[in-house]
Amino acid sequence: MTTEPFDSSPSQPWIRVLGIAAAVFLGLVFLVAAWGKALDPVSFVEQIRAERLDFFGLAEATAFMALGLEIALGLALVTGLRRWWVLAPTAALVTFFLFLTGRAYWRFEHGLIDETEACNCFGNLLNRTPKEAFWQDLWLLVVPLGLSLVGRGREGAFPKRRLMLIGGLTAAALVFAWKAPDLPLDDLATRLKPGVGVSEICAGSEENPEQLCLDTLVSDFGAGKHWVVLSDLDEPTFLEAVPQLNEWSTSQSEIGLWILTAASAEAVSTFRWTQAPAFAVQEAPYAMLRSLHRRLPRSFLVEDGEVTRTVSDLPLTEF
Amino acid sequence: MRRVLGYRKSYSIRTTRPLRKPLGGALCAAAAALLLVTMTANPLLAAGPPIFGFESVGFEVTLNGKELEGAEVYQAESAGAFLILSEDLAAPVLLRLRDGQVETLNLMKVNHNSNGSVDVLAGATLAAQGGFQVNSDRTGIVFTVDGQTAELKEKPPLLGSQQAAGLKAYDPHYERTAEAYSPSDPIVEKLRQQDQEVKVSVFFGTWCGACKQMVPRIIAVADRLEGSKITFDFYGLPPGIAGDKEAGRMGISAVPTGVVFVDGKEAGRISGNGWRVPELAINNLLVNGQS
Repeated sequence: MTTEPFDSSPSQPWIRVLGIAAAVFLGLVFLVAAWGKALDPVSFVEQIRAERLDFFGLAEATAFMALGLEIALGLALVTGLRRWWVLAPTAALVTFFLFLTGRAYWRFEHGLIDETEACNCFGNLLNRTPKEAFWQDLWLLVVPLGLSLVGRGREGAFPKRRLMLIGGLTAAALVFAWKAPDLPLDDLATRLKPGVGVSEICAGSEENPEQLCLDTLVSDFGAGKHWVVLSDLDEPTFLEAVPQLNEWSTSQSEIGLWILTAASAEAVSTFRWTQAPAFAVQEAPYAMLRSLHRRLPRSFLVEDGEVTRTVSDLPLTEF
Repeated sequence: MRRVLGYRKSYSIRTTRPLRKPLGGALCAAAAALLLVTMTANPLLAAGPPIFGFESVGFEVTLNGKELEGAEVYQAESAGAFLILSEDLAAPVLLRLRDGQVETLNLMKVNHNSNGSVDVLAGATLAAQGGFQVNSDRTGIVFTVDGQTAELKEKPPLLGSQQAAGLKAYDPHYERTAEAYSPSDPIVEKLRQQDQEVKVSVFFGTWCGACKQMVPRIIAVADRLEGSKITFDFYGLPPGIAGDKEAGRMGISAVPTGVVFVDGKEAGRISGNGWRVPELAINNLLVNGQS
């Protein structure tokens, strides 16, 4: 089966260029989004579950299939493939993304979710409100999709080599995503990295009067040195290290030790009674901590209000 | 000299040093030998290490299900220990959470310091009472003292309209943290000079982690503005904010949120990062209409 080109007139080559450029742009958007998700596939799987898209309860399989599709279509578009069997699933994927962001926007507007529960389509690379996610997706996806349909030439021979290349790269990208949680990529995959100010670590957008940033939540971080551990208070490695953390915390007073957690009030209370921490345990909104880690515990050093070091685990070796 | 409060009998204790009496060397040695013999004979008795820096905390204690009115609860975070003093208990109770131990000790070894903190002095004779269990709703621990069932737990949330003094009484943490915050003098002075009737209603939750950090700063500002035309009211909400009538009426969706009324009319609200410098937020709202 072949598709008639929208316009193959040799007198209008700019239309063809426009179509190719739009396809390449759309492909790059897909690849950037896939990169964000591949860096933190665990978070993507959680998102699949939260959106109730884990068909037959296979959230991991669904996540990897979706990721594979996004990468393959992105590569196809970037390499200039504008066949109907590329553009049709691309249109379906764009429609699906818009359905998700549109649904979140509707829910937000009707007070069913708060602004921090937007689509995490770009992994931790972008923090967007439901409204921003919908309108950005509309412009970033729909417009280039529409333009990529124009100026398509006659379809030539089946692009076997390009497809093999796309298949190979997609497989490699999926292997990378599979292994990513064990790779030392936390600084790359999250918004927590040296140089970030605690005033930039926030829950909620700037327009939201209820936006809460870490410098307001813990004003002590504005001055001095503080080790901060992100934890759900139930990781075995963290619980095993509590005596050591207690000892370090009581043995010196120059550097503060804080645990930031989004665990439930009940979990925090249980931790306090069973572990008797000698360090501060500060509850923080999940929306503030979500984009700061791929796995817990993760730690960082704050010096005079700025993150100066990150550790993918507990900072025990730094003590 | 300070009197140990909360007991029918009062004991005079030096503020910084253990009680000492001029004893002769022989008498001292005999007493030590007697103590050693007693402890060796009774494995439930032991000489405890000193624990310094117990601070007053807002917890409640029940004995056989009945709340112990006037019980004083202290916590030494660095030692992972609680100390309970109450005239309804035969002796002070020491809970060493990290060791899983509940013990009673001789009152003579409890020293009240002038800054309000309490120390357990070296050589306190600790009588083991057993272990403890976390209670069913995870808000405290249950243990046995002299055969009676006791419970140390978080207080229920403070609800409804409160003044700053009420919060300080509920949990001394509010007062300690408020004292650590110094509002800007020029802004406070400016606020004190303004002549409109201003009321700041602060909706908060004693269960809310962010409130524990921010409300003391607001209390510090309220303290500094006492006697001015700016008054503060603290309204405690339950954990399910949405279910509270007053929160619903006022459209409160997050805590802490401050509703500022000028001459009885709402002039604006302060929430989230607005509380970074509360006095500045109030001033901005009064001057610019925005926090």
